[in-house]
Amino acid sequence: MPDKITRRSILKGGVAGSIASLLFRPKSSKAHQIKAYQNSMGVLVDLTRCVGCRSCEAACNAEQNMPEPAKPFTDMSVFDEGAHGHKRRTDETTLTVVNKYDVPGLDHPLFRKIQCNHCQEPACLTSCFVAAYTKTPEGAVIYNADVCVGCRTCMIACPFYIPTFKYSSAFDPKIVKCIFCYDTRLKYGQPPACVEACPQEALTFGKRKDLLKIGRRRIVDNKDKYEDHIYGEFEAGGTSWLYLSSVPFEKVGFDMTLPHQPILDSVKNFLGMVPMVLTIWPALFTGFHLLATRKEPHAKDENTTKQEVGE
Amino acid sequence: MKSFGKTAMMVLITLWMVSSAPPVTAMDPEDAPESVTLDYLEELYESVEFDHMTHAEMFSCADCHHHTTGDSATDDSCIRCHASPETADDVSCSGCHEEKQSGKARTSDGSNNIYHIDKPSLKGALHLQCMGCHQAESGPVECLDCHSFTAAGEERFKIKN
Repeated sequence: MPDKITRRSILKGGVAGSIASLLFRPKSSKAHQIKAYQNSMGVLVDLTRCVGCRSCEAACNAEQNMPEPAKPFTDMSVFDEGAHGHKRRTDETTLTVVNKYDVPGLDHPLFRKIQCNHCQEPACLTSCFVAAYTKTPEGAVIYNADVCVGCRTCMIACPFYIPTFKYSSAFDPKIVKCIFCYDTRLKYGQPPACVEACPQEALTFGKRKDLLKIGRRRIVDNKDKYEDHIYGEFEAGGTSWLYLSSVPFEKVGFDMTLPHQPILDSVKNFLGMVPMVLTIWPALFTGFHLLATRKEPHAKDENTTKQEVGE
Repeated sequence: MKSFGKTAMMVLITLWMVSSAPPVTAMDPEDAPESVTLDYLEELYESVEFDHMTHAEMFSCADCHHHTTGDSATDDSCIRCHASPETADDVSCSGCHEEKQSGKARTSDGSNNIYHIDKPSLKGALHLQCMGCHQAESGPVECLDCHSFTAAGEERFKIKN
């Protein structure tokens, strides 16, 4: 018989593994560097220019062959549909929506378009255990619906609540989200449909690094017009879609509590431990169990012997 | 080779004609076109007949045009380079603003990447200029106040007839 697995060897392995796990901790998140694609594209959204015409929604619907909406895109009553101040969200039929914000002290409403922000380090991508998501060098976060198993972890991981689920389909449910018009446009260097449709040029398509320059220039050239911040430059580790606003961002629905590190960093230490726990703990605790129950068979033997003697 | 010589001659003649043209003087509002047909981008909407005269009577030329014929640009950003009146001969919007916003113009590949990094396309320039003023002056601001849909536009916006 080859090397026999003894209780002792199992215990040894378990103890050694535990010590190793303490010594070789996953790398600290402080050392994290964003390895973003240098020439990736993005879109700069200037909230001061948007007039809420919904041309982007209509263009997106046509480009992505989405189902016909209940109301035409010229119907502005959709802005007031949400009860108790709830805003419209992306769903399986709409990859982008525009919301209206009445900001106190401002004589006109502001409008904000939402869609996937195409993070530099997407939380949806890192949370997906079947690796359905891809961040392309052009900047788009796309996904392969064929390998999606419908676990919806990405919906929870996304800090912007963007991926949605096709609940209406019982047999082919899949995740639905904006893909930056990757298949039909971005791949060929063209701007997404929403950008092309925008009459006010509230959406500007370009290299992300150039958009940051344009954004900063607008802030500098138009004194007191803009908040001195480009949303998305650092939020959640940086996003391909960037935003300029004339009012504090939280007043137009932006989450200002997001960390500047990628969302992945919040869970990386924990996730780094998972494989170790899965491999070492079974051996360790099996060892403990064997150790704890080592004497039981002997005790049984002794009892039997006593009974036999008694007879 | 023959056609090259012909082309070169044409270019020389054109250059001579341009350089010997009389200096352009400032234009009076009365000389400006009465109306301008905006049809560069008609696809979803019919072309728009812009009543230039009415606007010229209500406002001064420089309220909308960054510069007027024969005068230098007024915009601080433009005047850095385009201070001489000669460069201001073309007062049409399409003289400077390209018809389409292209991703390429916004990248650092182009030669004008230092200054012209944030010039709106023609569609953007017209809308920003018109809407900015119409909002401030309580003019019509709804899309269909100025535009009427084409069949393609109705299809795009899912108008149910």
